[in-house]
Amino acid sequence: MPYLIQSFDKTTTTIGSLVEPERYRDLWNLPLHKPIIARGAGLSYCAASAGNQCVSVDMRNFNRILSFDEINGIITVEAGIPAGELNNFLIGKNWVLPVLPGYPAITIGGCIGFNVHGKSQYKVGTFINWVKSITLFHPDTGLQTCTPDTELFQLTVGGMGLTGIIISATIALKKIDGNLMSIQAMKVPEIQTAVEVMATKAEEYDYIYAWNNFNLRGKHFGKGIVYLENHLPDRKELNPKPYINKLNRFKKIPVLYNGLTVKTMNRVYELMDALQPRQRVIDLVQASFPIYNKELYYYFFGKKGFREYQVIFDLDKWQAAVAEIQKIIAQMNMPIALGSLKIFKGEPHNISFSGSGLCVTIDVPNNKKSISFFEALDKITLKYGGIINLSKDSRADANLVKHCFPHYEQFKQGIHRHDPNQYFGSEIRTRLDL
Amino acid sequence: MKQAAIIIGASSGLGRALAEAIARTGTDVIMSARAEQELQILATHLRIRYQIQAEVIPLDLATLTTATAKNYVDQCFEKMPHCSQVYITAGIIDELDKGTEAVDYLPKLMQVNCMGISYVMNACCQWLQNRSANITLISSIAAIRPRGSNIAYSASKIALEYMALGLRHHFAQSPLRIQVYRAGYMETALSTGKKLLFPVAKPERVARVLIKNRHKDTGLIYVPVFWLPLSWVLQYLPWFIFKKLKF
Ligand SMILES: Cc1cc2nc3c(=O)[nH]c(=O)nc-3n(C[C@H](O)[C@H](O)[C@H](O)COP(=O)(O)OP(=O)(O)OC[C@H]3O[C@@H](n4cnc5c(N)ncnc54)[C@H](O)[C@@H]3O)c2cc1C
Ligand SMILES: NC(=O)c1ccc[n+]([C@@H]2O[C@H](COP(=O)([O-])OP(=O)(O)OC[C@H]3O[C@@H](n4cnc5c(N)ncnc54)[C@H](OP(=O)(O)O)[C@@H]3O)[C@@H](O)[C@H]2O)c1
Repeated sequence: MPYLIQSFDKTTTTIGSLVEPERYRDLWNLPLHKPIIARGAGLSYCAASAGNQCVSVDMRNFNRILSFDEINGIITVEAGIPAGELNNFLIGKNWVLPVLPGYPAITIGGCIGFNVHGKSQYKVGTFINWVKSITLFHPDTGLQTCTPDTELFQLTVGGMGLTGIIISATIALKKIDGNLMSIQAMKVPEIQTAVEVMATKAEEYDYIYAWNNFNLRGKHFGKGIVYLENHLPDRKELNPKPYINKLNRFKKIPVLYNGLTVKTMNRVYELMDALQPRQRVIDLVQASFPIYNKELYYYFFGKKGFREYQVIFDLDKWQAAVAEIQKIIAQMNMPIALGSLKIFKGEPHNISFSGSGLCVTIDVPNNKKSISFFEALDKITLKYGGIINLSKDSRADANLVKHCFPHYEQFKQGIHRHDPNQYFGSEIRTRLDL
Repeated sequence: MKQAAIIIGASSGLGRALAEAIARTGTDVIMSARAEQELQILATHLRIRYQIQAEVIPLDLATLTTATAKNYVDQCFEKMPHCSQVYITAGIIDELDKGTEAVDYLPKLMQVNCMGISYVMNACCQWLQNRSANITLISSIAAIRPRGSNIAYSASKIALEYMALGLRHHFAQSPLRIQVYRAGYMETALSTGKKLLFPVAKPERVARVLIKNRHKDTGLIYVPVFWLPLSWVLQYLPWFIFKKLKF
């Protein structure tokens, strides 16, 4: 049956089909007359787990824990398990997933597929650093287990599901002594101070990120709050309720963001934060996903959706790049629904979002203006050698990606070597000409 | 006191959701169906996740007799003598079951959906008649009124309902509760790809209802509950209208 799948940012709709296998034998016998693609929670902003004429294979029934070495902190799980649910289980055992993306429903398969990062990026890198092995199914080769020293592993992490279906993965965990977290919310008057604080404090804190108001002009641009978080050895009784995916609930809300409301919303966020103590202690379940229970933010973009631009600039180039971004925002009078910063440390990897520098995130309502705004941002990215996050970008094309990622061709050839019959396909594969 | 439950049909759909939900309450589980590998994976998960005892005893209802059913049930209670909850969710449909000339599927449908389950239910009653326990069976809204598709399936479910409710009456003075649910559409392999007229429930939601009601002497009830008024409508719809419905 034809099935419409919309990307999370609502800017792309594909017509393909969806299967929801529940047993292994269903996976071994998937029909191969159309390209297939594994699907996690479908929370990539772009259509990475769907495509026109493609069969999306929803992996969320494969959500079990296969083994757990509680002493050494190593767990093997099926790919469809949601990161939030797994993390809550681990908190009870004094371990956590070292890299946690922003929403609990995101699956481990999706974390691998886009080599995701968390607010702990500077300290622990991206997801690849913690994956010890992956068991993958490909119709040509059957089941294969690969480790970080193999090409298949390197292509699969950040490989957007194009090397096969990840069945399970073994992940190294991070030890914790307690289940509480201290949060220091430090006000910063503009972006320069924000980055200075983040760069100097990055070694001291387990998690570090900032919320910034990019709607302010002149010297106040980027005024905001830097969050500095550390695990505490203390603990309290926790009985976490299962997470509910509240992101796809309401489909027909009208667009509520415009120049005025976006500015008001940013102001309201700032005021709400000001009501809270600067230094606070919350439990890890709450602290792990700051966006959880704030899903309203996404609903207000309405049925037209939104676009996100996420880019890493080298620390010696960010100032010049951000100055140009600031200029473009002012020139185009672009309402910015969300501005945010993180600090990154690591090596580039294929076409995934990793490297060192300042990570800048910008959300805008989806409209004609947003496309030209993003094109202007692309020019700045290319000029300053920035790296963009493909999981968040529904419109980046092959040309942009080729220039952004020096390893593009190598990655593409690798994918073709491991999937010569192109059994795997998706909107992003077509768009990026992979 | 530590509790234990037997779940027949735990390898997928409602049974699997039920196994997880029961394990979450700290109750030990014995899980059965044909797909042993799937069940073993689930058992490992439940042991790690909820620190319970989780065992697998493979079972094929299609080949069951009174004697093999008794053996199976004895094995379950020997493994977990503290068992006081039995859930039988197993069930099959057949694509051809819509008035085709050849009804070769009939014996299997009747055997799996009604006879096999009845053998197990009877054997369980012998173990549980003096305990505060529940035997919970899953019938279907297909049993509300006979219609032109899933003909034998509905017949097998209504026969199962009568077997169960008969036993309920027989054991009315005992603390044992025999419960029958007429389940509506659920988001499982059984309903995949079908055009359905009414809302589809998540098996996890249905599982929660079953667990919540396990101490009640409910007899025959609908899950989700909105099927009750719908059942009246379907039941009392005049024949000249009903015969025109295609569903
Ligand atoms: C609110 C929100 C916050 C977010 N925060 C962050 C963040 O902090 N950091 C970050 O890096 N990202 C973040 N993301 C993006 C998200 O983490 C990634 O896009 C992730 O890949 C989504 O995973 P998913 O389970 O939804 O998978 P999908 O979106 O369905 O799939 C993602 C990719 O992984 C592949 N894939 C999924 N499962 C498998 C499998 N079993 N086998 C093979 N391939 C598979 C798919 O084919 C696809 O290419 C966020 C997204 C949202 C909606
Ligand atoms: N899904 C619906 O829309 C719906 C609606 C109304 C009623 N129901 C009823 O609800 C119950 C649960 O259905 P479901 O949707 O969860 O179905 P499902 O996902 O197909 O699961 C059926 C279960 O029955 C087991 N089973 C099948 N044949 C068996 C056999 N010969 N021996 C032992 N076990 C067997 C299967 O395991 P193995 O294959 O491993 O043996 C599986 O665990 C069924 O009784 C069904 O009739 C379902």
